[in-house]
Amino acid sequence: MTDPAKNPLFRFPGLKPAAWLFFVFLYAPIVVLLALAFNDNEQATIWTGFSTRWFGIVLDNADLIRAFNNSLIVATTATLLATTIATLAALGMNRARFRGQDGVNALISLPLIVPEIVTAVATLLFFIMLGFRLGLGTVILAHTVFCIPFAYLPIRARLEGMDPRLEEAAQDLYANRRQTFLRVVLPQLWPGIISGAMLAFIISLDDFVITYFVAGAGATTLPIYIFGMIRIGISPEVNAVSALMLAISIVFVAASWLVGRVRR
Amino acid sequence: MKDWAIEARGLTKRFGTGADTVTALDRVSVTIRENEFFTLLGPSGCGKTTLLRLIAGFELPSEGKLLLHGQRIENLPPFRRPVNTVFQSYALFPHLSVLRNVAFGPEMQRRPKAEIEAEARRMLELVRLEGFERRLPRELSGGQQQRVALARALAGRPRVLLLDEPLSALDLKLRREMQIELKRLQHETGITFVFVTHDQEEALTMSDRIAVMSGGRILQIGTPTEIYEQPTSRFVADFIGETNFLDAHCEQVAEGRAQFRLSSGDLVQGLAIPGLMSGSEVTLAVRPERLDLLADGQPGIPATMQDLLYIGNDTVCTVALADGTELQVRVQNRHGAIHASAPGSAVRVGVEPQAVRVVGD
Repeated sequence: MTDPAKNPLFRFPGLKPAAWLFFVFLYAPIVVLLALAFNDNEQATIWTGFSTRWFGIVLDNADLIRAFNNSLIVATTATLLATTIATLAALGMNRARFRGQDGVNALISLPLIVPEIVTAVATLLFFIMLGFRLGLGTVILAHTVFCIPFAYLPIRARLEGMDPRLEEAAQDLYANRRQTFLRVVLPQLWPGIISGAMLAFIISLDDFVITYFVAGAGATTLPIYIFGMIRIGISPEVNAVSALMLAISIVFVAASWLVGRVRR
Repeated sequence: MKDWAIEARGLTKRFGTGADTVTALDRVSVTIRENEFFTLLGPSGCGKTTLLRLIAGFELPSEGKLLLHGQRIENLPPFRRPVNTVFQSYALFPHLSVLRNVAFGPEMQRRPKAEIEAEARRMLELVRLEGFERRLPRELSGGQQQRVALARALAGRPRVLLLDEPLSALDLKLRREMQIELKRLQHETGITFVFVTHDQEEALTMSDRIAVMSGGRILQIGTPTEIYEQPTSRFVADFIGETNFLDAHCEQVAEGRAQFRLSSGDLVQGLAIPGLMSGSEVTLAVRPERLDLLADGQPGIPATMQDLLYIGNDTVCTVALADGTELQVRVQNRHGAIHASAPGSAVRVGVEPQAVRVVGD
C-alpha cells in the first residue's frame, strides 16, 4: 500500500469535503428513508418510535402484492429472454467477421444512451400502430428489448477474454461443436451470463418510465404502484416498500458482482 | 507407402479474397514416416504453423490432398482426425482440474469410464506429474502446464502428435529438459511427432528429419546432418548455422569435382552437384568451421587477418581475400587461445573440397 499522504490526488485542495458532500447527498436520503420505514407514526416524516408494523401492512396489501408479482413475472421473463438473445448475439459477434460489424456492435449498445422517455413514447406508439393490446405482454416485450444491452455487455467482455485456442483444443480432442460449446465455452462464459442476467433483472425490476407508458390496466408493476401511493400521500408504507426493493436490488447487484469475479 | 504417417500433395492455403489474398502455403508436398520425429523449421510467416493447422484440421486447404495413413483427411473436422495438438499457449481448460484436462480426449472418445481415469493417470505418470491431478492449470508453473498439455494430447491416443512451438515459452534450462523429455516420450510412445519450431538448434538436436520452410514452400527436407552439411539453397545454408557465401565462376567440372574461380581470382576445388555446367556463375557456401587458418606461405588462399573474436571454445576470425571479400574462419582453441596472427598480418585460408557446396538462390 502506498502512503495516502504521498498520493498526489489527496493533495488536491477541497477533495475531502467534496467527497463527503457527494456521499452525504447521495446516501443520506436513502438512510433517512430506511430509518423512517421503521417509524411508528402515521406521518412518515415525524419520528415517534420503532416499529415494524408498516412491513406487515405492506405484506397485507393485496394490490401491492399483485404489483410485486407482476414485477417479478416481467423481470424474470424479460431477463430469461434478454439474456438468451444477448448470449447468442455475443457468440455471433465474437465469431463472425463481417463488414459493418462495429456499427452493429454500437447499435446493440445504443439503447443504453437513448433517453428513456424517447424509447417509452416510441414504443407506445409502435405498439398502438401494430394494434397490440397493452398489458403484461407489452411490458415484457419492451423490457426484454431494453434489457438486451445490459445482458450483452458482460457476456461479450467475458468472451473477448477467452482464448480462442480453447475451442480448437476441445475439437482437437474429439469434441464436436455441441460438446465444445457445452463442455468448454459455456463453463467459461457462465459467470458473464449470470452477471448479465442479474443486471438485466434488476434493471427490469426497477424500470418506471417505459413501463408507465406501455403497461395497460392490470399490468401495474411495483414501481408504478409506489408512484401511485406517493400521489395519495407519503405514508411509512411507501418507505417500507422502498426498503424492501432496495434490499432486493442490493442482493442482486452484489451477487452479480461476486459471480462476475469468479474465475477471472 | 504403407508406413507413411502423413502425405501431403500440392497442399495450398490462401487467406483472404481478391487483392488481399495471402498465400500462406504454396503447393507443399511432403511425406512423413511412421514413428518419425519430423520438424518443420523456418522463420515466422514461413507457413510452418499453417501446415500444422491444416494437418490438425483447424484450417481447410484451398487446394491439394492430405492423407493420414493412406486415408484422405483434408476435409474432415478436427474432431474426426486421430491427430492431437500441443499448443504453443498450451490452451489448457482453465475450469477443469489437471486430471479432467487429461481425461477430456478419452471422455470425448467415449471410452469406458474406468479406462478413462486409468489412462489419464498413466499419462500424468508418463510426464511425471503424479500428485497434481486435482490442481487447476493456473496453479501450475509454465513447465508443468507444458507437461499437462503433452499428457492431454497423448491421452487422445493420436496416430500423429502435432507440436506447435511448445517450448518457446520456457526458459533455456527448462527448454533443454523438455527437449530430452520429448525425445524420451516419442521413443516410449512410438507416435509420429510433427514439431514446429523456428529454433534451428532445437531442430538439429531433436529431429529425425527436418523440412526447412520459407515463403510458404518447403525448400529442403533431410536429416539434420544433410540439412547442415549439404544445404541446397542459400536460404537453408544461411538460416541454419553460420555460412560464408562466395560468388564464383565454375571453370571446369569433371568426375564429381569442380573447379571454381572466386571473385578474388583465387581457385578453389569443390564438389560438383548434378546439373552444374562449366562456365556458369554460382554461389558457394562454406561453413566457417570447415575452413583452416594457416600461416603465410603454406598452401591456401592468401588473405589478410581483419579481426579475431574470442568466444571461449572457439575463436572466430574475419579475414579478407585479395578483392576485399570477407570470410569467417572458426578455429577451435584446442591448445589454448590462438595468438598467432594480429589484425593486418598475412595468412592463408585452407579449403578442403568437401566443405565447398554450390547452393541455388
